[in-house]
Amino acid sequence: MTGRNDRAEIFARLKAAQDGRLKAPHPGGMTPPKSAATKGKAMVTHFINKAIAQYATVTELDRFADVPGFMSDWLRGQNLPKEFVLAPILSGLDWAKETTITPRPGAATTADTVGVSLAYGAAAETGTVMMISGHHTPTTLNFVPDVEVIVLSKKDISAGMEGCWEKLRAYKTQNPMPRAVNFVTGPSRTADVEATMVLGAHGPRRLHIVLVDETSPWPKST
Amino acid sequence: MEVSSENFKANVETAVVDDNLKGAMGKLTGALRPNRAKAVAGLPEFDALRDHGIAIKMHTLDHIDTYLEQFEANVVANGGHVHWCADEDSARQTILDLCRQHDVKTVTKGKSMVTEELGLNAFLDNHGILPLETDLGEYIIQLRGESPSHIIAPATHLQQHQIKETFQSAHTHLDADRPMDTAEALTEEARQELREKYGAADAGITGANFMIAETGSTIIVTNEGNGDLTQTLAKTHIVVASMEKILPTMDDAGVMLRLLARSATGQEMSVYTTLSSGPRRQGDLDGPDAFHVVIVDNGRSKMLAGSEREMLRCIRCSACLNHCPVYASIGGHAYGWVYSGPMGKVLTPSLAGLEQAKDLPNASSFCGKCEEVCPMRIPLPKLMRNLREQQTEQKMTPLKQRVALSLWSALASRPWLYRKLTGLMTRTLARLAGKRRVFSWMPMIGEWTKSRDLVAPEGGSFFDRYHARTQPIKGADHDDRTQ
Repeated sequence: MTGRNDRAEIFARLKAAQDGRLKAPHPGGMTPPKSAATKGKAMVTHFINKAIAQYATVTELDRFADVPGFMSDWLRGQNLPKEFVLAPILSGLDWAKETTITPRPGAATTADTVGVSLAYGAAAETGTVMMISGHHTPTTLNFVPDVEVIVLSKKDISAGMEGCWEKLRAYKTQNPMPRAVNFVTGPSRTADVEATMVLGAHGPRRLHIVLVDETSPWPKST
Repeated sequence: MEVSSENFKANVETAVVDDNLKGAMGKLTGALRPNRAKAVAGLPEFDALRDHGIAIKMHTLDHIDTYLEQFEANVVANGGHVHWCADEDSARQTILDLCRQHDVKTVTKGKSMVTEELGLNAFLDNHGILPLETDLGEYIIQLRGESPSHIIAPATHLQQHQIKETFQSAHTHLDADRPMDTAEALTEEARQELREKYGAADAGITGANFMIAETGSTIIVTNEGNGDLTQTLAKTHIVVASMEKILPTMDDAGVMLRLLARSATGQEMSVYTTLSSGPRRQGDLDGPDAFHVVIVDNGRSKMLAGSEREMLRCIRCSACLNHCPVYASIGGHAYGWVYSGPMGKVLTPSLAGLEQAKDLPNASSFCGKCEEVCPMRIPLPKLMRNLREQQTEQKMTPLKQRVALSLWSALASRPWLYRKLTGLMTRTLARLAGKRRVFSWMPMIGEWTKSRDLVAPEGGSFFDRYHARTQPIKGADHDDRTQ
């Protein structure tokens, strides 16, 4: 038993407050703003431009099979450690051929500098990626490492958030609602000191998005 | 949190001469006003979006009981728990009981205004549970023993050198000569101090920007990532939410999110928007083991039934604060409670009681900027006027003021008398002013004339001039009394 149970009291008050009122109808859904590109290549370009405007960096690849090779080059180029934590959904890629890097599939800890995960969707309107929790893609990968790398299939980009909700509803028909859904727009930041923007507040200091042409390896049921 | 709004006048006296505050407020408004203007200009549909958002809120408030029930059923289906609290005592006790049930000794906290309303930190502290604020601004003011002065930028009343001093006295284990003269250095220091705290906490307490009935999800919107670290790494996640945060569907949340960040910081989207829907699922590698939502009424159902109902549309973006000339001059603390600026002038009397906050609805020039920038078009000046009327009706205002008002009302409802008297006054003042045509002193408004001159009236009144122009029409009756 926790505290008093005020449920009945609260609902009685709410119902009394509604008595005799004419009730407003729901206005229905809405379409993404016209200012956003809504289809094809223009939409992908819009996504890239918006993500970059939010201080993310972006790389485009043809195939998912190219991701391990890219990671190897990129980590070296950025002078980052060769060990990183990897979302288990991506552990099926051929990492063994990249002998200079060591991915560790699992959840992230504060000892991890770099995390790599897979997005479930994205909204071009704002350059936002949508991550879902689960054993395939642990939530900690999105927040704990200093450097967050997110792999995203171009086919999973929608014009606005409406497309992301649609994807979530479809997911829910096969699976329970994910414990967490994270919309991520650029790296972590704050402006709490004299309204000056500083990147890297408590979450990742950097966000790199790897865009892939191919369909993502998400199973229908997780 | 204790209400000290009755000290408003004294608080203002101190605030307006505080140079640190003046400097800090200039930086806040200098950044946020142009940011919002730019974001709004970048979205041609912004006004249509506002109307859509308002329609969603009006519908939701009209059916709030239904949607809260649906929300509860879905939280339970997701494996979580919902707790209903009528007032702040009940909410504090419920949260404490939850902490005891889960054997909680330490708590990390994401930013939450409703927990400020409850005075939760002090309460937990008094009961042996250590709360740690993790939002940078909240962390700073917790170290200083202060309350937030802005709903989304809680330490906005401080200058950088004050934050540096706070960290110097709090982080004594660090090298005294470390670099601390940039916003980057201070942010980094707080990041390092808090980094290991999230995983070590027994419970993470966050607020909620929205709750979605369709999925039983609570939403937080942040830029720093501390809220997500708080709710992901602690063993138990407790969400504290005031009940008007409920929305029917995910799409509805999408509309509100489009409005929120643009109105608040001028971002198109905040960095992190997270839906939390229950505890860790079977097979999950991370996430809390338990998920509780504490839904707080604490005056909302009373507002729903009363004349401040429209205020429940508020999505806590802070646009009204950022654009308010009064807020910009006195900062948030002068208002004496959790909510400040124009929204505070309505919320504090509504939630904490008009008697305790009688100066607040009167501290406005009614410039109307707050209503103009409010994404929910809440008629804040009208609501403040309502509260002023209630004060007069309940005889809370000084007798002198009430007598003056009834004299004025008697005069204003008799146009012929009004015009005769004001005409006489105009002519008298014009004569008294002499050649200079200004008064450097005037009885009853001595405070006003202390720093400026009062210009004497010249010529006739609007009606005199109007009549003079229409005079040529023969036979027209210009007797005031017949109008």
